[in-house]
Amino acid sequence: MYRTICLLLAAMAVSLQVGYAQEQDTTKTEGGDELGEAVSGLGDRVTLIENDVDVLKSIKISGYVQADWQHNDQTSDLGGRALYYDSRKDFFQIRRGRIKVQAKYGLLMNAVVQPDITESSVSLREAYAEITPFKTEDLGFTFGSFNRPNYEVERSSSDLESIDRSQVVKTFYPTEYDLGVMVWSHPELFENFNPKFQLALQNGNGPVAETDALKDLIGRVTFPIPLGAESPVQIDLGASFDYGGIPQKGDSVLKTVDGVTKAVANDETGGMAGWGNRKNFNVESQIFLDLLPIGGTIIKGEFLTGSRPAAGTAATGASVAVGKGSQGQDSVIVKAGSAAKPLQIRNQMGYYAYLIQNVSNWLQVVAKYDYYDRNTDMSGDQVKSFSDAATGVLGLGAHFFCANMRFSLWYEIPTYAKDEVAARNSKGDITSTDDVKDNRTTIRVQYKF
Amino acid sequence: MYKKLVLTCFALVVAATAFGFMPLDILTAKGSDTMVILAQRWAEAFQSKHPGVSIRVTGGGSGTGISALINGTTDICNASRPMTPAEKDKLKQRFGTPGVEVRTAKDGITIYANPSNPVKKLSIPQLKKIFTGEYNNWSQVGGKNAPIILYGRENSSGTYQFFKEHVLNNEDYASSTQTLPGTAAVVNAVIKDPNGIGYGGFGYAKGIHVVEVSATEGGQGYVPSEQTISNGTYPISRFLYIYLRNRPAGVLKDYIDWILSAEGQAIVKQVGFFPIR
Repeated sequence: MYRTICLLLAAMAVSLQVGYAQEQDTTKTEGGDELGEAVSGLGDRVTLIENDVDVLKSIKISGYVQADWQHNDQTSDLGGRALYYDSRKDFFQIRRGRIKVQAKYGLLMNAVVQPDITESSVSLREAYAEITPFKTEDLGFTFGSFNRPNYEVERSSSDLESIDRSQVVKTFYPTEYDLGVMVWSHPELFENFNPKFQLALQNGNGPVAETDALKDLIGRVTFPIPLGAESPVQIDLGASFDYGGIPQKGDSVLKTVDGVTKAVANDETGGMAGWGNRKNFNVESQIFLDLLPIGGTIIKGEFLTGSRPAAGTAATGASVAVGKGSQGQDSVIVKAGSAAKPLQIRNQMGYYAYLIQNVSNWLQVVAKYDYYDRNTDMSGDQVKSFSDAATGVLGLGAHFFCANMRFSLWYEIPTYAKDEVAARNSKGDITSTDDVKDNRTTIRVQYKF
Repeated sequence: MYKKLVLTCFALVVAATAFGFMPLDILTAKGSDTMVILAQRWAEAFQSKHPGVSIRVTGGGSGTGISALINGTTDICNASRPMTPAEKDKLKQRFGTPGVEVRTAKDGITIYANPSNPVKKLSIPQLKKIFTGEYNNWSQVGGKNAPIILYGRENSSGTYQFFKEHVLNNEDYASSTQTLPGTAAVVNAVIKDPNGIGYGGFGYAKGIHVVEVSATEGGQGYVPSEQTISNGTYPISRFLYIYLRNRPAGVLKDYIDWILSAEGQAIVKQVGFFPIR
């Protein structure tokens, strides 16, 4: 009996223990499931957050602010003889305030919008979409408002070694940006040899609404001389062109022939009287020298030559004779009912050259010479107005780099071409000195983000 | 007054130019997270021999290091991928030099899997399908029926770029890839996750299953080793680089020469990478 009772108690104890253990196991399993679900939920949430962060990371905001203090020696244009003048003499200004928003979708698409904000205006600069259909940076298409293909134009103002672009570049590529479409290719044909090809069709009117049906075709090719990646000397060469025009309704244009501006047939457009030709051809070179222990040296320049049409001197009307007399032109008859002026087309040329020396990684000293001849068909006494004059500017400066800041000191000395100065002297325009006091000093603080 | 101001400014330029000639023995090295331990060991060993020299090493990824080199905020850029032509051009335009590339070590991009994972070998085409999301179950590559969990690096990483170019053939990573800040974090994640797979430098492959890699499906598989990398049989090997702005001089030149010496290359081996000579 006693044995039976002991066995029953033992069996009950075992069964209770088993039941408790089973209960514990069930609780543990339930707890494990809950924990697993919680971790899985957290994982899903992290994935969602990562996806959102990836979208945000595809949007890049950058930009820069350039605040200037400028001193002008000359406060009056002296009848067009002073290249740099400002009646304010000394003043502060926001030269550029750019914010660039870039959205990149992998290697396939890229969109950029960049306004320029200064103390006096807000204007649109870049606004383009770029498509690289083969998911490589070797070939792509750009649509919208973008830089015209040219070395100095395409360099960001925040990276330029001078305080501004060269005179001839500003004339041939005004406002830098234009609306249109471009195809570009940058293939690595063999190791360290990446030529770049660009071909653009643009309004030719800047980043504003188009006013005519004529378009500019602009192309550029650049390539390095294959001297080897290890070579301390690297040379890049390039050439570019711009071919376009602006409309006119007259059947003649004004051109300089034998130093005199006169009406001639508009034969450069193939006998078509409907437009005036705008064209230029440029060659460029950049030489990079890693020879001095203090830092790299850059010697670079570009030569640009071409013709630019501008509104002629004739009044609009049914029948107009232009500028006979002091300018020596012939008559130009504008067709009846036409409201257009005949165009004056000048052959022009210009060049710029930089010598840049880096001293360690925070100082750069620069010398630049920039020359622009507004009418290559005139010289000496023939030059009667600033529109036909040639001017050169020697710029000397230094840039100090400190993290995202750049402090620049830039001094510019404009000069007129010797023969034209002589011409003006002979006319008594300048009596005391050949050089007008129109030098300019700029101190610039730039912050780039 | 104005003349004095201009003269003062130019005097400052001259003084600053003169100051620019003064040699400083503080070097900064920034860039690849894969190389950060290696770079720290180099710096420690070199500093112990040259007490007057201070070398500050930070990571952030190869892309970050290259940007710092272009911005002038680092002297040395450690990179686990070569600089792109566009990056070289930026450096050239800013400093007038094409940059100096120094190959300092070799590495095999290693495929990490959990030690419990039965998959021993993967081909490059299979890896591409896994990391682009086309394959999402281990059973598709001969493993168990379980989801593939992907671990990778951030897009500033040279390893991320190299793997994308050489394995994914420039296709995008699967959106489910969990990006982690450093190869050590990838290894830790895969050790804890039975279904995980990741990639990174061989120097970090400690306590983890290293998957053999074959160039083609059905081909011979290899794990990274000095032999398979030097004879080119391991299909995803690469150089580890140091980039400089200019041809080195002074302390910087001594440091680079020392890295390439037997002593510097011995450290490469100690850290788990492969010496170049």
